[in-house]
Amino acid sequence: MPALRVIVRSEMVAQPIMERARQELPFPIQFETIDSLDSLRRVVSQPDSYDIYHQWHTVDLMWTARAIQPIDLTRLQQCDALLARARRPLGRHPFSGIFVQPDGRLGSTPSNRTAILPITHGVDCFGYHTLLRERVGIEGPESWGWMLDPRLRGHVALLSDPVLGMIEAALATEAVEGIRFGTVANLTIDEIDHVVDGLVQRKKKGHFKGFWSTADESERLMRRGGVLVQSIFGPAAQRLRGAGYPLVIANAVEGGRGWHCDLCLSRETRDERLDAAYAYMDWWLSGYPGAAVARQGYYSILPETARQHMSPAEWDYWYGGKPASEPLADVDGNPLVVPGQVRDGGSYSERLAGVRVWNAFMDEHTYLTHRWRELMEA
Amino acid sequence: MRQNTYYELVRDVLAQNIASGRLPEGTRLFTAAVADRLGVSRPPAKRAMELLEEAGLLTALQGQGYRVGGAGSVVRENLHLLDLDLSLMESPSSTPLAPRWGIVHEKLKAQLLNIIPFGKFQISESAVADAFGVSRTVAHEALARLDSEGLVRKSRSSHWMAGPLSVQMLDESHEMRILLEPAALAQVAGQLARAELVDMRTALRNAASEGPALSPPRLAELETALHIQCLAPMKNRQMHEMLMRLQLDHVVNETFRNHVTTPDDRDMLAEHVLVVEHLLLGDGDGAAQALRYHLHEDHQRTRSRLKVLSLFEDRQTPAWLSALN
Repeated sequence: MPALRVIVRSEMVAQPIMERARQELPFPIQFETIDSLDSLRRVVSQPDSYDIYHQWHTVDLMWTARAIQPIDLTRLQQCDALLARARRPLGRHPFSGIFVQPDGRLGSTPSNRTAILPITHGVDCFGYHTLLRERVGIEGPESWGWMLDPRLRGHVALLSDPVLGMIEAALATEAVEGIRFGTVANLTIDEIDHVVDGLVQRKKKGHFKGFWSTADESERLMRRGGVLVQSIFGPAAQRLRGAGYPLVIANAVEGGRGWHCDLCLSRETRDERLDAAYAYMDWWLSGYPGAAVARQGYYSILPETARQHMSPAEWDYWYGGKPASEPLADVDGNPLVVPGQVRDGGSYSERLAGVRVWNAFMDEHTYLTHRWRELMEA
Repeated sequence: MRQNTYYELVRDVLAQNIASGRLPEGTRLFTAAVADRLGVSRPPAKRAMELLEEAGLLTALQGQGYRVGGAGSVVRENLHLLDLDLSLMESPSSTPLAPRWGIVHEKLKAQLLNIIPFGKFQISESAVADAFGVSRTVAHEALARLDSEGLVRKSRSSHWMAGPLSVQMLDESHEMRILLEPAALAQVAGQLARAELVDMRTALRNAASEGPALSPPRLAELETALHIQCLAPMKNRQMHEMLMRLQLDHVVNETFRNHVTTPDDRDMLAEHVLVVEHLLLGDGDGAAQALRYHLHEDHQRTRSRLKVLSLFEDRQTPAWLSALN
């Protein structure tokens, strides 16, 4: 049996999850971790070099490039649960625009075939040191505007990734200038210019302490760089808190940045490998992986299956937004949450209802990338 | 002899006239006078004479000007009184050279369009002049023309810039094209030869039976038939020229095929057939409506393909372009 070839991102698929998959599935799996855009270039131009790709926010690109084949939901054990989830009005986003329609295009009307299989989703916001309130006042809601607040000059860091960085910078620009862009997830050229021009000006005044591309860098910026506010991913936030850093994950008044991570299937995968690929998809919806990602702060697309692999205390803390009733461990088994601690942002439905914008690859990506590089070099 | 550039043509005309004796040995040649006699600008005349000096056909004079042949006494001659053979300048092989900026403009445009989907570039006017063997003035003229077409622009620091080819540029071209092209097709519908339309339909049906993806030459042939040949009878030349300029989608589609994958062309074929069927029925308005639908659909396909291209970089950049960022 040839190995199933799977391309993952490190923040999305932690080591213990890969090990467990290798143990539980009856075929060899070859995981390849690629965190940069190189993975997408390869997925799009060499569909014969992988079977499964853990993607985020690029379904339209892969579909246009015909790099992936439709997933037949009826081959999955959780088919009915998935379709039921897709029809729920709240938090429907991971399922919008992924169903293959009778004319072969993608749309939101549920069908038995999808371009991607959503497995994980979540909401990100910025994190801040409790000292920040001394500068901006204890009154007033948490706001993306802090990222560009002149009172915090020299204590702010941004994501260096242009796709996510631009969305967050746009949210911050809206908040600080009191304006509203047409679609934050798909800015026009004029809007991109507006945001980047503002960032370049501020960068020259020394507003930004740094730009981070990995979770380690973001952690270092806060622990040693004097950064008080920055965008942050779950795992880095967990480590900072574990080290005693007084970090708060904001629940911004403007809303957060939602994301979903999904499985997709190479158009070249067939026969034995195709069967293995479907088994791998089934495994992701079988419970343990959903529980494991919860310990990283992410949500499973089928929370009830994950629940069966979580203790009641874990479920109440991660999904229920309730105070921890006992010490809780992270995905690696290390102590993470102390009794009484409450998850920032509240319960699953509260946090998901707070999504202002979902990650997306903008139409003007080429233009955006060039302006973003100008910012990096300014 | 094949001339690639204007100064090479001028060089050859002069060399031919020297060889035939129409331009006698000892004649003094000044750049301005030669340019005036041949009806060309000074830079190619100057460059041509430099080349002829290197080749030993002319000798540089102290001060300025050249002497035909080796060193010796100089004859001042009104060049307009000499019966020069200028047939090379008018021969069909040389016509693409006139107007001088025209050919540079065409080539620049073709190369630019192929590269701007990948990013932002700075263009060196002097490198364009060198690459195409023309004067700075001509290079400037060609670039100015591209400026008026919206393909290049001057930066604040007065450098020529191009790209990236944005979705906004595609949207803007499409917005105008979808107004003009169907109207133009309806106008000429009655003038199209039935036999040609039947051939078009046959070609489309054959292509459809060949498989989901078309070969690049086959695709170009079908696209040209509908979007160029059918519009050829148009009387309004200004509108025709504008329409040709608005057709940008093929650039994205070709680049997509080269860098990513061969797309499924069945929808495109079906849409073309719809237009041709209406034309065959003599229904100009129906054809216009079908064309409008096709342009809209094709625009959506092109938009999404451009987005995929944003993942890639082009590695072959002509010498006159430098990638920015």
